[in-house]
Amino acid sequence: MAPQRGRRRLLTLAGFLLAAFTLLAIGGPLRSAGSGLARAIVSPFVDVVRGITKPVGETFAGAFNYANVVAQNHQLERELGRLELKQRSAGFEQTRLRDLLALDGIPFLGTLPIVVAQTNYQNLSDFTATIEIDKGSSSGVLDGMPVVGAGGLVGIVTATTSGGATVTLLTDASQSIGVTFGSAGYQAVVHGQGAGQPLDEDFVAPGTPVHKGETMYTSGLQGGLFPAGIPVGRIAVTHIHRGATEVSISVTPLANLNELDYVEVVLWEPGS
Amino acid sequence: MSPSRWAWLVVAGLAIVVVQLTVADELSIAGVHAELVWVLPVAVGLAAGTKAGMAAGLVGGAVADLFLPTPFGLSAIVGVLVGFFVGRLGEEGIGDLGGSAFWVAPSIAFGGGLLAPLLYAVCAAVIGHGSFLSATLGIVCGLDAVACAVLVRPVMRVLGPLVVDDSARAGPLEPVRGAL
Repeated sequence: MAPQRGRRRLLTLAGFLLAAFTLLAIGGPLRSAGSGLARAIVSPFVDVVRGITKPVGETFAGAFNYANVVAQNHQLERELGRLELKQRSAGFEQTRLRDLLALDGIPFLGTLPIVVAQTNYQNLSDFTATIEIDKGSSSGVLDGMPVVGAGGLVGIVTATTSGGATVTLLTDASQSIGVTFGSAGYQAVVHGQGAGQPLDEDFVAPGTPVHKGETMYTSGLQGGLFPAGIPVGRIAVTHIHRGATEVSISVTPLANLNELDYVEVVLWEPGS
Repeated sequence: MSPSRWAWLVVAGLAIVVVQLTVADELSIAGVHAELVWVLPVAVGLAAGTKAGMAAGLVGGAVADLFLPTPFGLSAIVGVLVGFFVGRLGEEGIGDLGGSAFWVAPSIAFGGGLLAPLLYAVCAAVIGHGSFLSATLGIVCGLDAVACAVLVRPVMRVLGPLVVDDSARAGPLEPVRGAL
């Protein structure tokens, strides 16, 4: 009796596993069919719960961190003034850079059209670093377009529907970005290592002058995946292991990837 | 499993997604947050046995995967396995709300929550997503384990009577299961 029951149990397990593997095999079409419906069902409830929890959370945060909020406000005002000055003085340099890059046929961020999008969800899974935005193919957003905001490169569009898109952040472990840094325009490739983790850098030979705090920009040369000149990150740690053929560099993303309420999608397709 | 039990599992899966999107996703540590999807097969497995646990894993995983950028069906595979193993313990009356000590169900849930993300990452690596085996996996396992341990008893209390199979009630476990 007991072995028979055990066999039946294993057969049931096999049946359920077969169903789950079928879901995995069919994958894409099922997800695209069911996702819209599931989101439509869940969205009103999410809005209601957020409407209750958000003011409560913000009231507590405001009450306990009021002095901090005021200090941050003053800091932001100072930062804004500094950036306005910098932006005005950078106009001349940008014009020159655009002309130089145009000579080499490299696209420049400053001249490209953008679409502003709001972030719906952030980091839904612990295994991928992604956000979901409210602009999709109906707004001209396509797979492979770069996304910027919050001070630098945010990531790249990896999936689109008519009314939304998934953006894979530059910290995702699947991301590799060609960068340039230093006055001599040294080239390297930075890799994501997962949400909340710094970027890791490859292809920097020992002896290359690398300075902590130096900013890295997209090179525009990595098969045309990103236009040139998007700030990516700042060098945080450098280390050379004995006998190593390259410098080990840790890069902190410039964009604050934890506060991505709004982002800008650069309407630029790779290779264009 | 009757259609009404399947329907309750779908409702429970969607409810867990709402809690995930509104509460769990806001509480992150080192860039990661607790994934509540594993609570469903653990709680239902303990409350109603292997078949219900596997069904909860399949439905809960599929519903969660509709909202995730990860491969569709992967959470369902892991959910089925978690539901089966935890359900085996549930069928023996271990972790039962009425008959076991208070800490037994949370302890089993802690173990389930600890192993589920690990199994998920390994399965993902097998189908070509090696990056899922990242340095943050330890934190993910820890957070999921704590979330499962905290939520298992309330979820068992609410969902247990709705999904427990009446035919499974007959037998030596009847007095224990009746306490649900």
